[in-house]
Amino acid sequence: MEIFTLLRANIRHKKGSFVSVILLSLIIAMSVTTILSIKESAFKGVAEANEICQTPDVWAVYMEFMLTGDLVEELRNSAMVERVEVLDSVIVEKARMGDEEYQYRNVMSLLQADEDIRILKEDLSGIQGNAPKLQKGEIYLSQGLLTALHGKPGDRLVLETVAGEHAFTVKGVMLEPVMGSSMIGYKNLCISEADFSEIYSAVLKAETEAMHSGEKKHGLGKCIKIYKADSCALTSGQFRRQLNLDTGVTDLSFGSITRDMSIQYTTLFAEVITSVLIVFIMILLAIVVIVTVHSISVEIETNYVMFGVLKAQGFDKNRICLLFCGQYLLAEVIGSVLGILLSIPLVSITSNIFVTITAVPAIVSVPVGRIAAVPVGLFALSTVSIFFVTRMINKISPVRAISGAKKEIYFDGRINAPISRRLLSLSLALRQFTSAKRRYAGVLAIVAVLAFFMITVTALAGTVNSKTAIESMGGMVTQIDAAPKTRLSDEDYQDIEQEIERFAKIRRAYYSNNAYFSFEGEEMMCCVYKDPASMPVLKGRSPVYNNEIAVSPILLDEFGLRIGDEVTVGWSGKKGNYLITGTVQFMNDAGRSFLMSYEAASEIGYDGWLWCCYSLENGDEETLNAEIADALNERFGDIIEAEASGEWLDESVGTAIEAMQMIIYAFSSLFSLIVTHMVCSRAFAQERTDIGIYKAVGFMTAGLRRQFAFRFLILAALGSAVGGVLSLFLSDKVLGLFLRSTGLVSFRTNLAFRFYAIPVLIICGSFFVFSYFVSGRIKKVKIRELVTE
Amino acid sequence: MKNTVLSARELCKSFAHNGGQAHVLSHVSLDLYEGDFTVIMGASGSGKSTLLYALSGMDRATAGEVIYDGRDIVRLKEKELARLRYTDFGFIFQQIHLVSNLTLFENVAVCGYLNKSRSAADVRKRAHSLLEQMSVAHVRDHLPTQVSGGEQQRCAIARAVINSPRVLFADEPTGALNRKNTADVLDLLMQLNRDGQSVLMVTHDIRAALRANRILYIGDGKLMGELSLPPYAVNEEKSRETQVNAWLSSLEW
Repeated sequence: MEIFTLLRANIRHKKGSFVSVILLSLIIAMSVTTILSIKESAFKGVAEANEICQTPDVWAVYMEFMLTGDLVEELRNSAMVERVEVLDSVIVEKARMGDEEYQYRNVMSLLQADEDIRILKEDLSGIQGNAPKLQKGEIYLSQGLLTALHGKPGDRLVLETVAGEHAFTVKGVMLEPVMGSSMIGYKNLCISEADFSEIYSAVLKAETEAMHSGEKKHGLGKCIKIYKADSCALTSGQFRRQLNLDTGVTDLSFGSITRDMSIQYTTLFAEVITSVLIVFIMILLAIVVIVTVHSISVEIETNYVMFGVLKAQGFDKNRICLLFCGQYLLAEVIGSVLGILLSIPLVSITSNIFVTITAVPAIVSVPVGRIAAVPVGLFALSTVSIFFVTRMINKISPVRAISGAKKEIYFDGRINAPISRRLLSLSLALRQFTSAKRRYAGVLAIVAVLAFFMITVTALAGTVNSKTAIESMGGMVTQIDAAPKTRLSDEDYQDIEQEIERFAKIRRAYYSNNAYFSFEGEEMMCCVYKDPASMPVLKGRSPVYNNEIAVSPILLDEFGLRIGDEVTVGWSGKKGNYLITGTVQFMNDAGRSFLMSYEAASEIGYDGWLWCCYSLENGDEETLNAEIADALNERFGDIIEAEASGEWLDESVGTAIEAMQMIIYAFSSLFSLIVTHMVCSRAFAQERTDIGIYKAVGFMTAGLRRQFAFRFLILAALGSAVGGVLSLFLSDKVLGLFLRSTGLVSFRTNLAFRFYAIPVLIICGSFFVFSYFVSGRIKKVKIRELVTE
Repeated sequence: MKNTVLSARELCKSFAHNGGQAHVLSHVSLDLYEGDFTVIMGASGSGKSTLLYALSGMDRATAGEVIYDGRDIVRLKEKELARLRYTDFGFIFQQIHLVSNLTLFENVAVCGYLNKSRSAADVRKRAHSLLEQMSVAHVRDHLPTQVSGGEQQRCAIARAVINSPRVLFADEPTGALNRKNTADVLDLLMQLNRDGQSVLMVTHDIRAALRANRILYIGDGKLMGELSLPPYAVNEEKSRETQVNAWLSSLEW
């Protein structure tokens, strides 16, 4: 009972810190509920869409002539396979909407719409129902393609096939969970039966005419959907690999995707963003615990006598610990409950925010168990911390405390930094800080962690927007891309380069193509380069000879391989053994890729034409790039089709990263405000007498407030410096961990000055402004308080 | 004829108390003279410290005026009051009140730095010289908690006079000290007074009051009486004490 009396008194007396802990817990509970619900909703939406659309375990795309009846029969006869569906398709070379274009290695399939297609509501908030039958000239496509083309239903879409251009009006957005996401390059488009027959015939005619004139044109395709038998216990990835080993099904395909891969790629970005935010929230949770510990330890120091009196009256350490637990846990429980309640409307508003990336509407879902685990974890951590910090109470002797003979605990040390007349406020602030280091250690840790995280996300956002940084990590950032119309010779390459250099200097030239090869029996993306040495190597060396390849670290891990091992690589049924010479990083196919030279690929029959892609010195000049593309098309129009490549980073991805950065900035500022308020209030209570003395000897309120704010500015600057040093050593590693699922195992941030400057300015500014604001209480300190009547 | 350094006219001070007003000072008028060692005496709660704080500008009177240098300090703005504190007035507290994270030397020098009429080097020189004069130079780099109460109070006196104030206010400066330290502190105040420093001290200790050449007695917030004394001399302390005691008895002390 006595505990409750004291608890009530404590809460009444320390309303400020009680409310601050409520606010901090509220922010954590609210953000955790929102973020976990967004993630869960996105995942549930994808899972549900896969169920509705009866996504096959393997979807493979073929040139029409590559998929033989025997192969289909062999697949149908496999014990692992439940059923196989074969669809006719037309290969779309390019999709155009206004000024925007989309093309992806011929893996855009034009299909005939069936009655099972579902369309999405106009605001993408859910599935509207079965799609109305398409009329001639109408098309359904996925949101991922629409996002890439910056289009909307009702817009005009032009598709290019070997038979020419075909114009359509976008009737609606279809539910397409297999490859609808903007994270997946493959795309399906659906048109009416009449349109499909017409285009199919035209393409067949174009193919036949080309064959008669000795040209090579392939415009017809096949898609197969392979469903695993219930008795097959393999994952969809293992299923595809085994099926390929048995039948060569993916060796012969243009590209294929398993159900698991599709789900992984579709949810990849949501996963990365929510993971970063969840880790940030966990850091905020740690900050709440640090604040709690700091607050209690200062309270014990300040109320040393009161605790002595309590001990004299029979309160032991455990009872006092219980008192603190009651006080802080009550605040955390109130904050958490309020946070969860307040997040309910937020969840319904935000649950669908990834729809333009996943292309699948989210289904609002709240993972209660995981959400509850966070406040429970906070309570547990707080309890343990309170137990440890209240050990100080054991050292309080009632007699010594009451007689005032306490050990000086306020000032724990002093640096002999001179008190300067010229910078009086600043030097006094520095002295206040250095003479109570212990009191500020917790705040320093908080600032350091916030600064580290802010610098890290700023670096992430800055790096994904930095062409040079992306290049250093194995990404290909080019301004001029030229699709070959025929096999190009070295002389052609030289001529093209010379033409470009009439306008701008070439920084880097890439002659490459990507294709799906079989790698140890499993379909993997192979990056075929004329000069593989143009790709930066992480370990080992670039492949030089015709029997060498370099693989991504993810592939190396997945197959349990090492540099120096030999692997089997296949193309169109032909296989060869290759030596792994090193590791390279790719962002294609979430890093499940490998690299080989064109000569090495030719050994197993690869004869694809290499694209010519150029990175220019002054690549930001869009009009110049367009001019170069026009000049190339004019001079080399018969052998290449050049274009100035625009955005190299999906707009929605860039927006999401920026949004994440802003969320982290906002939360950090909010936490700075609350932490500053708590710490300043404590410091103010402790220094009330000193403030009175300063006023008595002639200091002005404004000067004292500046001094107070300067101290927290120094603290913020020091914490930011620690955070900066931490980020120097850890940012790349942390981001590498976050982004591993995207293929970036070795993240190299380009730690420019601005990546530090913005977060440090925000933190220092917040601390200075907030502490100056809190120090307004100095006005209320009266010199009379120094009088002992 | 002595010069008046500070005058109070009809000074009143009241505080909010239990929903009403408690009148601590009631229409107090007095003059302080240059070079005097004036003591204010009175029983506990009589309003002597309140009067001291009102006269020194540390607290604002509710009504009345305090004239210093032709200006009513009751009506001065915060900036002007602050300036007055580091230029013309010095203050010594009963509870000493040194800034705990500054050394004794820094406690003194920081106040000197506020007054821009001296160079920083001069301030440091004077701070050191004052600490020597107060016999605490040997602990000048110690923190207040590392020295005795007497040493702290001597440092506080040095701080109070660093800017050569015209009036030195002292609120029971020996209240927290033992007998030996009390005598030392009073000797120092006496020495300063002999050098021309005007001193206004509040005390309820008769032995401390004996050092003054003028004693004001306050009771129930009103000035009840005034006693003028010849300059203090150690060999006359006994007779002086008898005289003061008799006067205080007449005022029902």
